Amino acid sequence: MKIVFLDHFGCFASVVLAAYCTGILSPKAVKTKDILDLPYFADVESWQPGKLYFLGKDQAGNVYYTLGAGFYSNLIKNVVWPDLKKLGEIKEKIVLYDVNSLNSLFLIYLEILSKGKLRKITKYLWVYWFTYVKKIGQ
Amino acid sequence: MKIIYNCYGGAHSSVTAAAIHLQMLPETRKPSAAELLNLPYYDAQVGKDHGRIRFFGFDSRGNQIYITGKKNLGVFYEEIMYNLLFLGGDKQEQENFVFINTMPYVNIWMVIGGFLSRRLGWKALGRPLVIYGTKQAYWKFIHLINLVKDKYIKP
Repeated sequence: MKIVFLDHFGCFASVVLAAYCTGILSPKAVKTKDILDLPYFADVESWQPGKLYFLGKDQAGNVYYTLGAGFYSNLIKNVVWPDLKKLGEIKEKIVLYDVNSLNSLFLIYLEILSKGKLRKITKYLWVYWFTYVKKIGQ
Repeated sequence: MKIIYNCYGGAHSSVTAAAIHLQMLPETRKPSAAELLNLPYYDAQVGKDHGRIRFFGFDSRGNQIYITGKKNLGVFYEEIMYNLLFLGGDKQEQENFVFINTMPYVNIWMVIGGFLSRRLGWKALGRPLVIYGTKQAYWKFIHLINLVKDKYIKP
């Protein structure tokens, strides 16, 4: 089965959640550096929606991806994907999860306005957001 | 081949482009208001229809023509769609899809008229504006369809 986490850029909450699912990140002891070292986390190339990243496999053989869907991850998951699946006769089992609500709206707007040029700074804000505000994994 | 014309709400520009493609609208003159309003889905889709991929018809070559509304996803819609099709695994099926963005041909009259008619529900005010806008942009839509047919549809 393919599992796709959708968020705004495909490189923040979606990457962290996919890392938990694949076992790259252990929920027990998450440090700032652990999140910063994740593959594709705060990827400098992803400052607009549309990017698809392969994150890895879990022990059950599920394959994890992340996809940037802008503010419309909910629309993509609930409306567009069922229609496209039918139209493209896609038989493979693919599950989409909208995780955009775990992202910070303020940081998303900061990324949009700066066109990703502040990524060297904002990536620390994102890590702070996930570890101390959202407390993902705890 | 599946050709999906996409715009903000799937109610005006994508419908007009799909109708021209299917020869439901004339290519040598601008259409009348009645001709536009008689088109399926023209100025009819509402907010909850956004994202739905609607079948519009078969063209003379047997290609399937669809319309959809993608909200503000813009050019990223196409990228997201191809990525999702890529996950489906069938490369041939992926190549079978063509996404045509009709938003660059939308003028200010269509934007204002569409907003008034579809978002606010003021049809009496919005419809004449959106029809005026569609007529103004009509030759551009004809040009777009010529480009699409020239590029994607093999004789």
